[in-house]
Amino acid sequence: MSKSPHDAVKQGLGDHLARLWRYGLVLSGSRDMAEDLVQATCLRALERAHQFTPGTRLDRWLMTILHRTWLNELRAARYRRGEGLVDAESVLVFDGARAIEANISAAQVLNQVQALPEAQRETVFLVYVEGFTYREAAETLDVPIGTVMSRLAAARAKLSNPESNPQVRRVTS
Amino acid sequence: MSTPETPLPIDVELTGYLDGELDADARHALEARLAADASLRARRDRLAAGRPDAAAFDRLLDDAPHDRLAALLAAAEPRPQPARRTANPLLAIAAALVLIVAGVAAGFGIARFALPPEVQVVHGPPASWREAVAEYLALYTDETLAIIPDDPDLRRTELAAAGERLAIALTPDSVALPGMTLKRTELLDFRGLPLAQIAYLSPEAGPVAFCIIANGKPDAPLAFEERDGFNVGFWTVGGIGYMVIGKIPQPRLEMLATSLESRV
Repeated sequence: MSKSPHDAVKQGLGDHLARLWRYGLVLSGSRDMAEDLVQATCLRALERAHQFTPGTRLDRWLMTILHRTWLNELRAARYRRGEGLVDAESVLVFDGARAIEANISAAQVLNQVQALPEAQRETVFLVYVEGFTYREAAETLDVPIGTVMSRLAAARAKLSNPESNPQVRRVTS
Repeated sequence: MSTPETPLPIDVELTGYLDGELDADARHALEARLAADASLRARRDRLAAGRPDAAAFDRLLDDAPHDRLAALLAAAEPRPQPARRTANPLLAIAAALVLIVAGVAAGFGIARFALPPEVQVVHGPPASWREAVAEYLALYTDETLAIIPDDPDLRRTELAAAGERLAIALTPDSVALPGMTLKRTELLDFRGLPLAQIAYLSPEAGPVAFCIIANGKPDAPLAFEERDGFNVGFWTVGGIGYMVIGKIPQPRLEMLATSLESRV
């Protein structure tokens, strides 16, 4: 007895919720919005479960849905509200107080990545954190592979020399 | 920004090399140049140091609200197919708007060719319940509410029914707003969550709504935002989200929201 596409996707979603939330957090800089993005992704994925090709990677497919949701809806909504994109102040969600208890260098890495321009940030996250190949990242972000390479190179140049990135600063709360 | 957004071509090549994404020919050619060029090796090493440590992101996985995400998934069910889609009033309105826009475009001769499928598809669900409420309220005019007869008994019944669904006590007194007429309470649905919209008509501000949703989110103090030309005050207590929305100047909105917060 094989499961329906809906049931298979719903079951698979359960294994990827935290990773989807993390991607939503990296994109939006907001925990609430990350949750909204996961919710919308679950709905879209279940609506389109029949479009998922069994045997391919469900996590890549889900990340692509989440990314498109972010682009199509949430960011558009923010622009409509006149907020623009999250700025460097608001994206520093990894606050200093907890970071000191946990791991300062990890917090610095997060803040440095979070301070990158959005295009570089999402590419760095997919390739270096999620382990996407260039091709997978290009498909998820819907850009040419050359753009992926270019974003990664610019990001590496910045991250290897944090002083060159004026947006990086420590926060304590 | 002191670092250009367009990287040097050599950085792009070295990055592809470091990431194992160059084909064999390009890799061998670059390795030969690296062997002969110390400054190129230094550049490679610097870029290598710019790869962020993926382990730093692991703690975000621990930080995720696992229980709430699991609950979201459990509650997530796809929208019914088009034939049943009109069961949801917000989606029905969105669909109607698409048709109206398409009709107007065709009427003006703008649509000389068929609209691509993407345009005809109803846009996805609003990103949040506050967005959905704002989009719905944007369709209201003074007339929408003015034509509803004043009927205190009916108002009381509507409020009690909505309150019962949300498991909170709602009465005309507890939701009354100064200078505004309570016109109607509707029980709606946002992604399977009960959502009450209590509508008022203000002589100065036009339609105003106080909305309540049982969404299980953590407590959050009163905050403000602007959506679709409306001012919104919103807060969360005990897993119930509240919002007051209208074309009301913020100082007055804050007063109204604080007053409701103390009563409901």
